[in-house]
Amino acid sequence: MENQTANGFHLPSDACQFPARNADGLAVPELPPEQRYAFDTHGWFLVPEVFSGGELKEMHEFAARLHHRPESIPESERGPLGGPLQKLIDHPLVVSLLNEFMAHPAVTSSECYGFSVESTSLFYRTPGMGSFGPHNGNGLLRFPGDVHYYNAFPGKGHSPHTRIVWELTEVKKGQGGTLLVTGSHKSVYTAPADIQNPVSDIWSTYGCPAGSLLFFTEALTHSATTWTNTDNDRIAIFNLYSPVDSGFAKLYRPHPELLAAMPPLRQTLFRDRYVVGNVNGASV
Amino acid sequence: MWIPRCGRRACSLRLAHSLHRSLILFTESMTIASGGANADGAGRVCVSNLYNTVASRWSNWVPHPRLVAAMPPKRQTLFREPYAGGNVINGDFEQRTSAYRAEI
Ligand SMILES: [Fe+2]
Repeated sequence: MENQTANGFHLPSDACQFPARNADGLAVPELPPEQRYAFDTHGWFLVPEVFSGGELKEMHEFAARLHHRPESIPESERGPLGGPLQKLIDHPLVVSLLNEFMAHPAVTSSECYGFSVESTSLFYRTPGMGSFGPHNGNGLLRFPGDVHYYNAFPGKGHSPHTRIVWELTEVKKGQGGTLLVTGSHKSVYTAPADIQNPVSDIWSTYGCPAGSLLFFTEALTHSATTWTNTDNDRIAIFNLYSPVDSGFAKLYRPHPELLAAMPPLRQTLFRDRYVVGNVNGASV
Repeated sequence: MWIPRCGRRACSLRLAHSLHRSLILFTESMTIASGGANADGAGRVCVSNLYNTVASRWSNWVPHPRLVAAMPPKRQTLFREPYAGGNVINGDFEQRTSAYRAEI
């Protein structure tokens, strides 16, 4: 490092600070080594019952209303960033994982997230809904610019396209939760024919109580599958994150009034798509 | 000022056209610096173009919208929005980047 400062500049990681608090002022915890290892090795992990009680009920009711009676919600709030759902987009556990696996130090500061939101969706599934369709995988091999890749360096994993699912209702294992091929983000072969069978052992899945949180890298082979649980519908918020300079879909723009009402730190999740100087509160 | 720059812009390529007669191509991933004036004191006159992959970009510069609108359609595709999914005319992006034929 001494030689580097004599001849040039430090790489930015020395000078940059990740947000230690989210936009609601809640402390961002350190990602536990067990979760960091699971995400890098398996490509996914689940945190059960992050929300429960009245807080979960409020989100559940808003999501159900959004599905059944959207016109009863003011236009600017009529989406998965509205009302009590907005806090999910930068929940401390979300920021904790994304700081480790997504944020680039050069476009991050204590006042600015180092990643962006690509999309946010409500999935409301009743029995019979949900179509099987394996996609992605082979994340080490994508061409530059396609965000469905995964980088692995000694001591550092990088998932530039990360999916975070909030299950607001119970998921019974094997009855319609997302299907995942564990470790396929680092696979270098395409899958055998059995990948087209949704009940094959090639697939991993999960069961969880309402209020649980699923993380997975979009570089992983994954699929929806048919919801067969007749005891409750699936109500899930699917949030997708991309780097600040690229993405699979077009730039996502929340309703302007909703965006303007967000705390400044949360607004940085929706900034224009480029690199140079694209950071608040830090010298570049 | 001579400022060495080392880039992480693995997806960028620079083309510099001299107005006299030469063309130089280099990857923006290499360490580069702007040079001094010519020995005869003549200024450097060049056009420097920088290219990115279609799905990401380094700066937020875009030409004037009226200029883009006046370009032939194929040239306009050089200035399209940065995203990957289906961002090609008459192409088959999905099949070329994934082992599976499915929507994301
Ligand atoms: Fe997907």
